[in-house]
Amino acid sequence: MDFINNLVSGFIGLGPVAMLAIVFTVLGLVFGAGVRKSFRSGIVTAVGLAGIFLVVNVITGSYIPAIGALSERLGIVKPVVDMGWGVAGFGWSWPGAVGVILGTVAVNLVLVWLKFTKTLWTDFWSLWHGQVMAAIVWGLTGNLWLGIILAVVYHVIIMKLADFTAKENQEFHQMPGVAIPCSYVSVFGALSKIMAPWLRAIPGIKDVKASPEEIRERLGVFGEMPVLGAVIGAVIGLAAGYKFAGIMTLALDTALMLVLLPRMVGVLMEGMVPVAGAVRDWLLDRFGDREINVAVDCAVQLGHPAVMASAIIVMPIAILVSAFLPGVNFLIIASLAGIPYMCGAIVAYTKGNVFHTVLLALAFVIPMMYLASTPTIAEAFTATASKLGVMADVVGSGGMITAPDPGGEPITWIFVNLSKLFVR
Amino acid sequence: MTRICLCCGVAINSSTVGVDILSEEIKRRKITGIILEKVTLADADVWLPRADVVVTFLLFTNKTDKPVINGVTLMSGGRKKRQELLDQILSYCPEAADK
Repeated sequence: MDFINNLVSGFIGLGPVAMLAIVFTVLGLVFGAGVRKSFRSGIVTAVGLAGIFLVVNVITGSYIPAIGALSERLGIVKPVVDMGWGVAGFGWSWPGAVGVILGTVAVNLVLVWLKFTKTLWTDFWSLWHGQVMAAIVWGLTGNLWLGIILAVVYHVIIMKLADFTAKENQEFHQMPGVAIPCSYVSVFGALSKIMAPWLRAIPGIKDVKASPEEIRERLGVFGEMPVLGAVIGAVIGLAAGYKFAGIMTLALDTALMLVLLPRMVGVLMEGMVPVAGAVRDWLLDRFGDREINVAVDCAVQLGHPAVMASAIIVMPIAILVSAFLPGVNFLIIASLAGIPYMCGAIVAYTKGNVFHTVLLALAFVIPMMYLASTPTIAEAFTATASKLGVMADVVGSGGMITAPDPGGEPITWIFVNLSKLFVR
Repeated sequence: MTRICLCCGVAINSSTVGVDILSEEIKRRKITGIILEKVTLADADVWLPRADVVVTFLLFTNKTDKPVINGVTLMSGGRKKRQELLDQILSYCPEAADK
């Protein structure tokens, strides 16, 4: 046991970037991606992770003083920083990441074979939300196995939700034979399936329609992440009492974050592709002839015009809610990039009605912000950053971090809170 | 020179997978002169004019006279279905003729 503990401690001591390089090189070799591809996979994935942390450092470096100034000037106290997709870095670099991957693949195979689920989980990337949940459980409790087990159980729940939502997604998005097992996208898709018919039964709401084309035409430029980021940054800088140079810097840092964070996640993904492809082929070779739905990325839901039209409306409302509603202890900025995915999960059930999609998205995003504001979640994210040795500036100065995706996703929230029972 | 634009939501996952699979096939057939580009749906107005072939991983409603091919099978299909789709995509590329 001491040997295993020493091995895990030594591995963690390498730091997340080096750990990830080793993990993906080894995974590539295990799944038969070949030496050259596996080696490249390890290096590129690690570069992507380092890039994510660089961008996150820019976010925290800009926003901690700005939020401090907001607090002094306007009394808007937001002590926690939203890391957005930056937390994906935790998920792929915590020491149990390989256990979650292998555990999920093995359990998925058994459950497909038993016909308990029709979702064959070939989309490697979508595991990241469950990985983050596992990482923060580990960060909170110090229990590596608990993190792995909860993540595998979590993925089983997501498989069933993907089964539940597959038919409507296939028909509406014209993607036959696929399922979308992807954390909050699956959870809110399933809730939308239940709630959308209720909306359509409410007099006064059921008949309201808004044309996606018209909304995009009017608000189009604000739906583009760099412009949206610059406007948000400038408004916050102004509210914080910054001078012109400070406002410009915060505006451009925010634009940089909303543009570069997804790009860095893309680099991370580029590194994972050979390993992900090897896993996908391995699974499809064994189960491809069954009556199954093959897992694909939730980005396939972003195509309908109503998705971005709804997201453009939801994003500023979410910012205002996070700024002014009492109890929400962070400003939602980095996580705005996830809102189109939430709208993408909903549109199949609102049949592309923008008004109904916005209402449902707000019904989900506001509770998500409250759940991500609860002390356990911020404590868990911060403890994980500390254990992984990242974001030392924030953590070292007593700062706290969070992310509504996945911290405010209800099942993740329940699992993380349950895991506190295991704190030693 | 044929430019194949692979379009998804934010050019993180689906288009990256598509580029990986297509570039492997292009390398396997020793084809030269094909450019693969990852693009996002939000920027369609920018890249659509320079695209020769569009491979899309989501519902694509933009009007265009370019060939638009649903690429989801690259992610979800077995080897046989994937090969059929690769053949279909490359059939629009003069560089791939006889290879």
